[in-house]
Amino acid sequence: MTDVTARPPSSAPDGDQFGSSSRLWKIAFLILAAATLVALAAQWFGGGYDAAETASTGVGFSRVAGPQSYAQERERVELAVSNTSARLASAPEQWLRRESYVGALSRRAALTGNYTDLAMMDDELARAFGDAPDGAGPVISAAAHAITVHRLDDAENYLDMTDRFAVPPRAGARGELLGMRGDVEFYRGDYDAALRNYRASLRLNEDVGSLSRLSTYQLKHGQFDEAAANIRRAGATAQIPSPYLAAFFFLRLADIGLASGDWAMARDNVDAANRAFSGWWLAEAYQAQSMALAGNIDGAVKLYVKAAESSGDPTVMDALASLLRAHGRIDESRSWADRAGAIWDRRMAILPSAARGHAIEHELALGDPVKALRIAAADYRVRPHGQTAIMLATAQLANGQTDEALALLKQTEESGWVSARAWALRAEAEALLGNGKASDRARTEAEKIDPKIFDPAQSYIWFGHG
Amino acid sequence: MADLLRRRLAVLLLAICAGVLPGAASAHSTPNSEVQLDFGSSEARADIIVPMGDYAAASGNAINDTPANRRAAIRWLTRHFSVRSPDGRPWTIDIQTAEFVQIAGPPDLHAIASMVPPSGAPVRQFTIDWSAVVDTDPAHFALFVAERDLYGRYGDEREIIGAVRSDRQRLVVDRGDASAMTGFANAVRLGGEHIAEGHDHLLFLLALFLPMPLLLAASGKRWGGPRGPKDAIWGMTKIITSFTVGHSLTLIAAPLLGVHLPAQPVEVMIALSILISAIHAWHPIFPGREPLVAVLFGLVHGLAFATLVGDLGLGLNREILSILGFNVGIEIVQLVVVLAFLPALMLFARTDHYSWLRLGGAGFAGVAAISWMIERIFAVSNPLASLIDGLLEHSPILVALLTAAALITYFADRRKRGKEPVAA
Repeated sequence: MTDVTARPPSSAPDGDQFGSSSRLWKIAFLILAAATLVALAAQWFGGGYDAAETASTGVGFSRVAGPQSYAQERERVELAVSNTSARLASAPEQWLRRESYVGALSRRAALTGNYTDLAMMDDELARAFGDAPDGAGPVISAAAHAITVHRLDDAENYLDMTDRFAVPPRAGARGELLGMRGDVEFYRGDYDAALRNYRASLRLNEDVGSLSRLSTYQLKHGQFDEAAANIRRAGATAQIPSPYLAAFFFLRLADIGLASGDWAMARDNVDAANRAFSGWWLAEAYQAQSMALAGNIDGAVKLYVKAAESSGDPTVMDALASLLRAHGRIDESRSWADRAGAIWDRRMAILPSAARGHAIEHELALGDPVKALRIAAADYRVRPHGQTAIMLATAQLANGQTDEALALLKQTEESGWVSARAWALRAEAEALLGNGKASDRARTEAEKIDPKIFDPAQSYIWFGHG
Repeated sequence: MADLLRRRLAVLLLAICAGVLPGAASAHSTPNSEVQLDFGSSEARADIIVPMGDYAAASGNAINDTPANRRAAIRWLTRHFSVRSPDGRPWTIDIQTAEFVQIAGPPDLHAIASMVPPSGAPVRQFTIDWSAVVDTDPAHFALFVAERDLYGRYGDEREIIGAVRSDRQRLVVDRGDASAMTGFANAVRLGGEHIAEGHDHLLFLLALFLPMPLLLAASGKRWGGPRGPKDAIWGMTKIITSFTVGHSLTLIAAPLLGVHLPAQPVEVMIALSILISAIHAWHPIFPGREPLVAVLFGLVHGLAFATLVGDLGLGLNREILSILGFNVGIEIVQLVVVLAFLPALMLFARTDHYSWLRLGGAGFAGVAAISWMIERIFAVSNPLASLIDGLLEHSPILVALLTAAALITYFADRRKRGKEPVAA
């Protein structure tokens, strides 16, 4: 046996491909070349792991027309409000004119998030019904408004009235009515009935409303790709393809990204929303959230402050307060939380049904958990669906009602509602009850839906969390 | 018509305020505390994370990362965290470090505490009383997780133990009985897992193997023709034995002697060892002295293993049986990999195309070594290194493909030789 440590030279032919004199230089050159290659590759791809994560940010619009900024859109809406108001003043007994005024108010409320307009709509609709003959009036507007402010029984009554119309509505309007019936069922937790109506609505009228509703249903049932596809289809069918609507759809896509853990997709779509329709406080708030997720805390705080000041919206203030608190800026956080709390109190006084869902979140994160539980229970009573169930379970956990929270979360999961947050709460409840293995299983389920659900940065997500 | 459309659009967009569409209200995720517990033979260790903002709100303390603020944080944690044995005797809690750090997401107060039971009390059964943040914030909770339990049935698997909240501030922990054999078996498994995941250790060894089936050329300056399989295997056996001796020495000695080296230079040295063995596979630079190189670099690789054992902590580094188990795990995986690689190596060596494997393998190892060196020196992610790591994660497929290629080449060569006319 030859000892390898004293290996004798052989006369065998060389296996190398280089000449002996320059071999070492060539090896050195090869190492240098390899190092250069690596350095170049590092430079080329450096910090570019996201390069492949280019989410499609198209929302299906073939053209865009209309005001390109929040300020311009606001001006247009204000003009509509004053015009319809002037027309109404000249004939205050005409309910159709009042309905037009209500329509303008609704456009302003949608843009600004202002609850005063929503409350005014209540009064104006009541007066319109008073002025209209029996069995007539702004029935469809009233149904839509009732859904918006979460008064499902009222909405159902108005929708029933449309069944008794002497002249049946056209296919488009019938589709819209079926969609609204679907909404009522959706928020009552009857998802099968909701889906049937959404599909029927789509068959009658494939438009922005029917496709958006179906997309929402799919988002809440974990069908993220389908939800995104339907948003794009909705964009393609838009008859008023305004920058505002484009931004709205971009934010819908961002919501899908945030609910499924695809933060890169969310960020791209938030950027696109801000590019499409500049100065919109909601898109800016999303942008601030993206900045926080990217680690730009100072930038996020600055933008949140701008959006909060310009809109006066308490949700933005809550997000800002939460961010400031996470970074130990407790006094500033309390100041914004107090400001938001006062607005939520006012909104709860004006329109409790509409304000509850958001007010709970304020109370849970920055206010009083006991108050949160009271509001959450009331909200769940009138809208017993997945979202309100998750809010109630969160409030129950914060109030030591762990068994009740767990039961509610199980029921929510069995209903078909798919939410990583629900599973994460279930993991928390199981852990509190000392069920380690069950908690682990729940965490796994949560991560299947949203791989980033337990990412520490998740707490920065205030807008669009699933 | 346009007015009707606008109105319908407004209805849809109104949903924004109503919590139906973008920005829909749902339970916002609030940051919570997490305590990871590691269970050793004589003590437990708690790795504590408290969201910094919640700490600031609950304690009223300053949060700049200064020594005074860190000490204040330790005092505050000490007041809010205690452990007792089942018989009621208190444990000794020593919060060794506290810092304000931002790892991912919002910044945290991060602390590490050692928890030592009183004399005669079990280390695996205790009650924790935790009131940090939860006493002031009812929505906050602290999750307790068993991260490492080498002497228990879960080994290195993370397992949720439970959680505390404002209304439940006490948690009873019972990890069952400890077993030396379980500890040994878990250590074997850990050692095996760590070397299987540590591609650099195996690549060093395989690069050293590449020239083993060859003789040195007459000039003594390049690799020559094939040598007998027995000699080749004997040479490899000496390399693997030397490497084992080398890394075992430092793996056992470093923890016992309390040697602590920073990880970065050790990791860079390991990458350098691969580069040197890759160059040697390309061109002989230390022919016949491979076992010596293996033992020397083995010492360096052993330091990396020792760092891992140190990281596992909890008296493992004082448990000779566990260190031995860890080492046995390493050897088992090492041997399996070598045995899997050997058929391809020996078959290729008996063809006219061994230089393909040698030069290709040396080139790959060299590029990998340089990529890892850049990554480890500059502490920045390197896409090429990630690519190589990704490739090496599929080692079984690579070895199977290599063996198939070796078989095809071997039989093709034999067929070709059979057809060649016999020289007169």
